[in-house]
Amino acid sequence: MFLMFLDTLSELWIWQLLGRMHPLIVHFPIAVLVVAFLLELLTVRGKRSELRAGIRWLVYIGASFSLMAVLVGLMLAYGANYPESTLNLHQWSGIATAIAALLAAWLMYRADSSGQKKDLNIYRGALGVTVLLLTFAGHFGASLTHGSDYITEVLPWNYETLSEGEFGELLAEVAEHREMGMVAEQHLNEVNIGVRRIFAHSCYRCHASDDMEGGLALDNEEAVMAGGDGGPVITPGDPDDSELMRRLLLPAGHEDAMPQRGRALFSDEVELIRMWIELGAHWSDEEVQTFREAEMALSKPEPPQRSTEFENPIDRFVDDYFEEQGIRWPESVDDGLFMRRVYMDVIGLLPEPDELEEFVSDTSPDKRDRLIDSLLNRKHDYTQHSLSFWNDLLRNAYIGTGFITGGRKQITDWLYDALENNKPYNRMVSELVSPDEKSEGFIRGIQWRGDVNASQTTEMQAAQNLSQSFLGVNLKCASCHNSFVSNWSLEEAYSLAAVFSDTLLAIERCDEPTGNFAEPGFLYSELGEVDKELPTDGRLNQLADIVTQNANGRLYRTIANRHWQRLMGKGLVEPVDEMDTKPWNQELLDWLAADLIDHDYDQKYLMYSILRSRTYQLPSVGLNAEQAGVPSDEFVFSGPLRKRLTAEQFTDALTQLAAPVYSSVAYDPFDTQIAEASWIWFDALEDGRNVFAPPGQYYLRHTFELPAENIDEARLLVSVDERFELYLNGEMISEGNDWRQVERIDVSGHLTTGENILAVEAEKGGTTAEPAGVLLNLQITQSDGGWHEVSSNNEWKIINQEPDPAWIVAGFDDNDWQTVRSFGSSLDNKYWGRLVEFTHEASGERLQFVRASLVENDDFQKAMGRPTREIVTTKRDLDPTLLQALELTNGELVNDVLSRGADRWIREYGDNPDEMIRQIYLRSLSRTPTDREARIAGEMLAQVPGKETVQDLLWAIIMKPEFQIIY
Amino acid sequence: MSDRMNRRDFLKKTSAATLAAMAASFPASSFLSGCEPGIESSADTVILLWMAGGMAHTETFDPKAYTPFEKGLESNRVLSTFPKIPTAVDDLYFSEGLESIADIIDRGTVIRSYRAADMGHILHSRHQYHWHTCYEPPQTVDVPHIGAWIARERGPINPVIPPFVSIGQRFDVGESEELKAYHTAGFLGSEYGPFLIPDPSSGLDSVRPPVGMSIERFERRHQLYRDLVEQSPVGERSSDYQKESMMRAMERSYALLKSPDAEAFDLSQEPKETYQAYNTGRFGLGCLLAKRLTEAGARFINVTTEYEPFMGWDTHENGHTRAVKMKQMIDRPIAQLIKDLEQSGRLERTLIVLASEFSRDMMVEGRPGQKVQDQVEVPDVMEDISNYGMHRHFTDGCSLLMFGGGIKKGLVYGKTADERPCSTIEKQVGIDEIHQTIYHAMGISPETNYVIEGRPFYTTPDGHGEAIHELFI
Repeated sequence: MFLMFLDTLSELWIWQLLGRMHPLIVHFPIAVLVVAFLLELLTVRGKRSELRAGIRWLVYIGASFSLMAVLVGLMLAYGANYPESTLNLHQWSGIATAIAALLAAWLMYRADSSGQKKDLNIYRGALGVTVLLLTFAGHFGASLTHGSDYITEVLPWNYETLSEGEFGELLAEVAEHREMGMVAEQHLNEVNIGVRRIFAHSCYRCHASDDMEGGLALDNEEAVMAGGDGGPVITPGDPDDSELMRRLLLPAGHEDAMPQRGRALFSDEVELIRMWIELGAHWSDEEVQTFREAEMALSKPEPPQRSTEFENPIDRFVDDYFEEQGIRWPESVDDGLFMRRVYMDVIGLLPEPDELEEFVSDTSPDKRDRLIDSLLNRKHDYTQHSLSFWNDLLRNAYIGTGFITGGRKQITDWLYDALENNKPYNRMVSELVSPDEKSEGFIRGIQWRGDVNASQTTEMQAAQNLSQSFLGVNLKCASCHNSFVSNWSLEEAYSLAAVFSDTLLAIERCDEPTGNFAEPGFLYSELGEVDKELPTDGRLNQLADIVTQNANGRLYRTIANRHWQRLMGKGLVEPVDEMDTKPWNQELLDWLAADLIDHDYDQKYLMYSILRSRTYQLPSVGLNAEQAGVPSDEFVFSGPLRKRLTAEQFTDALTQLAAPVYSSVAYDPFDTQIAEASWIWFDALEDGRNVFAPPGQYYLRHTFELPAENIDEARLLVSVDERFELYLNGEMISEGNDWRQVERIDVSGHLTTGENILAVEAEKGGTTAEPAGVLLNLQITQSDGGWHEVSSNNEWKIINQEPDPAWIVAGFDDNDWQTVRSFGSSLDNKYWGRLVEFTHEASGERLQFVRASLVENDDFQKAMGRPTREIVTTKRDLDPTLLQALELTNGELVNDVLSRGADRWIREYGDNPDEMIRQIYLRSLSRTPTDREARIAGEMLAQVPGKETVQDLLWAIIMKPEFQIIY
Repeated sequence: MSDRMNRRDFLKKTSAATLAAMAASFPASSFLSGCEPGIESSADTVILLWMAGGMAHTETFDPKAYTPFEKGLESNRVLSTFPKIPTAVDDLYFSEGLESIADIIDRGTVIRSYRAADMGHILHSRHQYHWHTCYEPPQTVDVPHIGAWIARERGPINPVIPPFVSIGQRFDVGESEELKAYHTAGFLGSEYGPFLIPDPSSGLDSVRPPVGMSIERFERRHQLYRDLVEQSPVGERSSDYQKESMMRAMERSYALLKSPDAEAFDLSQEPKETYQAYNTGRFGLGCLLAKRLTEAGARFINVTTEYEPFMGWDTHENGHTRAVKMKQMIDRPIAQLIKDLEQSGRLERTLIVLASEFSRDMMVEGRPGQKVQDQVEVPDVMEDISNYGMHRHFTDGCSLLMFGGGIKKGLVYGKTADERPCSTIEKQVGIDEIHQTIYHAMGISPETNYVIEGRPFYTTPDGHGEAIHELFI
């Protein structure tokens, strides 16, 4: 009864008018009560009693107005359309505020009458509570007026959100034309597109073809006209008879009200839908673009010519850009900084001090161009540096998940060759998309044992990786359901995956079969069709042609942008994998991409152009984290960004400055001939299973026969993890404590005719069982042409208790000793890798040192930001962390390298500390130390001379941001 | 993307009324916390006791009819190879060999209805990945370990103790790459990644100055670094976040390595009796380290019996004999850990979870009705004690224990059948529910997500699963 009365009442205009005055009335008590409270605070401890009279009035007024606000608020709430839960919170906190305010007023009155201090404090407490409640009420009220999703609506997937009043102009314009009796086709289209945008933002989550709640989809004409389970939802021409309108107009909280999730539609949105139905619910042929899409076609813009100062087209674009942005060209960096930067960027190494000195003293004007040229031509250095970037981009790894069951394949051989020979980019892509057996690893993906999620089949991985790596398109969302963050649909993602599939590919939505099958095709059908009748090879061939054609501007923009990002620290488009984002300079991007095509897809030429530009040679810019993260459409370019050394750059620099960090490779481009032998150790068993032997002392021996003594040459290689002493026929011939240091010994003087005996006393330290082993190879050439090879293998004997001292000579009975267990070959080993120094080869092209890009990922590399390459990585996480700092401060690897490095520096400059400091600075930072730096380091060396101090100096240098950042 | 529209847009959208009130000098935090009231936490630290390799529920916390070994015994007659023992809870029985845990189970809850995912052909590391991340591998992004989520959401308690510590796993054993794939903070960033301590007795080395370096030298070295940075003429004009965060990380690391709190990692500080009470090997000492790190303020501590293919709980033969040894390894230290935490009053706010990637059975591989390739030959009739044990991987019913952190005491949740297959028959739970339960205890909302590549990524797939409220006091 009462409700009916309210219903009637709420129709009255005066009711609504009063209700709408609620926001006006509500601000008054807020201000009044807050001021009263603040003034009250000033009177604490009996001060400023003159305020009392004023406060009294403020409290009374505040209390009565809060009561009014509540009454008027209830009127407003009843007639309108607000989310119920927030409304309740607001309503009750508002009512509570009013009650508290009234109570405070009464308590104040009481305190005034009694004059008791206690009563005064009670009143003050009540006033405080009132203000606190007011805070809550105010907050929920704010949520109401601005939508309960005023936090969530700023989330990225709501980014292109529609704003209130957006359709006001359109509504007015079309209304005007209707009055005149002529609504043009164009208007009908615009109205429809508007309606569809509203549908996309507010309705698709539940009502789209791939998720039809209530049997209703709103993303295509047929479905909209067909309606849902309950029948049609619109009656063209008659909004009042349309279920859709009825639902939109129901009060919030009603169980039929729409949308049920997200904000209620704005009034102009509802009006637009009403108008659309009135006008006959016309459906436009135009596609609705919910998210921005970059243009496909590529034409080469003419570089602007503002002044004659700049020749390089890049600089001319940037000059124009700087002019627009009001940025003045700074001076280029000096030779030292430039040299360190360009070395790191092109070959990933520090310049040698003598190269540096020569370059600085060179006075020819084109010396920088020549340097760039020469670095790009250092084929192996360039390749070994670039390899890391490409391995990240193509998800190529030496170790990782999937290999264990044969579900993954490397492409390293192919990739190294492509980089070394600067293979044209279109051919690279083509060979990856339509591969031979050397390059097929890329599209074969990673196959774990067992069943995988439908969005992670190898075909889908291929589609995702091709899109991300080459086109800057993210298909990951769309491979499970129509994307909420891009225009890609499930069907389109499957269509690309189907190109890679040998069998018919069933479409699954969020792992549930949809009953449909995918038609093979490319994402951008305007570039060409894939013939589904062809076998997989043929389709891949076709796909490769479609992707690499010049008309596919996306492919070339994407790679041009990646190179720009590598060299300049931030792409023209960022994020680099979202190429639909607006670049900060479209023309420059287009020019770079078109220029790449014009120069036969030569990536080195592209790099050469960028490196030669004054833009590249500008001083670097340091940003804060927030600035560094902005997308390109908000970014203002003012120079290359500072880049942190990658794990590989840092490691190689450490090798150059101190000592080799690695000695085993996962991939050896020179295929150095490694001497064959097995890593052997104690065969420990637990429950009948092989386990690593516990740490401790072990004894190994091996007897071999030599027929005659006419020995020309006898060369022995040995490496032991961890500490060892090696005896040949009773004499100690070598010892060591680092398996990475291969000992080479000429043993021709120690061999005898007949029985010879090799004996190794070895020890593994530590507290847990870890891999340990002995690796040995001995090659003997005799003057009669005879050749013998002895190596560590499973004929050797081992024992874990100290034997009789005679064990190192021939004739000792080792029958009760155990046979060793082999832990794999020297050529390719799970634990020690391929130890490149374990070779008898003296000459030939060899690795200068084992570069980090050629080794397996380990804890150190990982701590320094090298990704595991389980997924495509296009930007590394290079933010310093505590774990990383710990690794650098007390990690074994760094300390060991620095300790060996200290030996080297003392060997070279031990008698001249000043020169040592100068050379360390030149070597590590490409500059000489300032006087103060030289003094600080010098005093330290003088105070505590010795190896440890040199080691600590090296440590302090490599921890400097100046060492770890490319300025 | 995630940073791109927070503060600025937020302020723009904050209503006038709120701003008016803000201007009236109210604490800003009350407005910034959003509308969703947070969940109240019942725990501050999680200890995960990981039974690596597949612990048979019928041999441990959910015993079935016992059939002793004899030559000629039919394999399919055997449901349990141990007799039952009573526990501190009436009508609750465990398997022989778990007497110490049986004594303290009145402080915790047994869940007997966990059903592991069915992922086709069994690969331990794949199920482990799933258990620890809640996502089935492979995934399109690098998915974080539950410990990393907790480290990120709750942050360190003590700035010098890494919030997420993982104890006992070596990474040079088989399936190492797969193990590494889930010991990660993934897209949350390596800052939240696990601090790895393969050997609990040498954990201290990771948090002290380098081995062999005196404290004087360590301090001198750091001072030299500071002096040289100070003097650097390069890059001194402008600030940049990389340089600053690099130096901040260095100072934090220096503080940690010098901090007396790092002694939490030093097991030799424990009284000899305590040390002995725990010392059943690396797992036992791992429990002791977990106790010390809980006291020192870690957030998530993983202690594993260690996964190594065909070792530990991964019994492909000799199952009975090896289960005896495994129980000896875990029984005492786990009970001691619960008692010690209870005594120090920390059990109330520490959630201890014991779990395994799946269970084992003598006959069924995977789960009934699913065609999964058998990985072990099981003879119809046993000739040797080596045939006696749970040698196949079973996913249809597994046991978990939970203690402390607001979990009920003496509760038995869920049930498996008493006849083969001993599958879950009541109150089935999956990994989503387990994760949400742990997050719930830690006061982490089920809506928690991280925006990666423009889309929200939740702690559980699409935020699925609800905390098992019945488990909480």
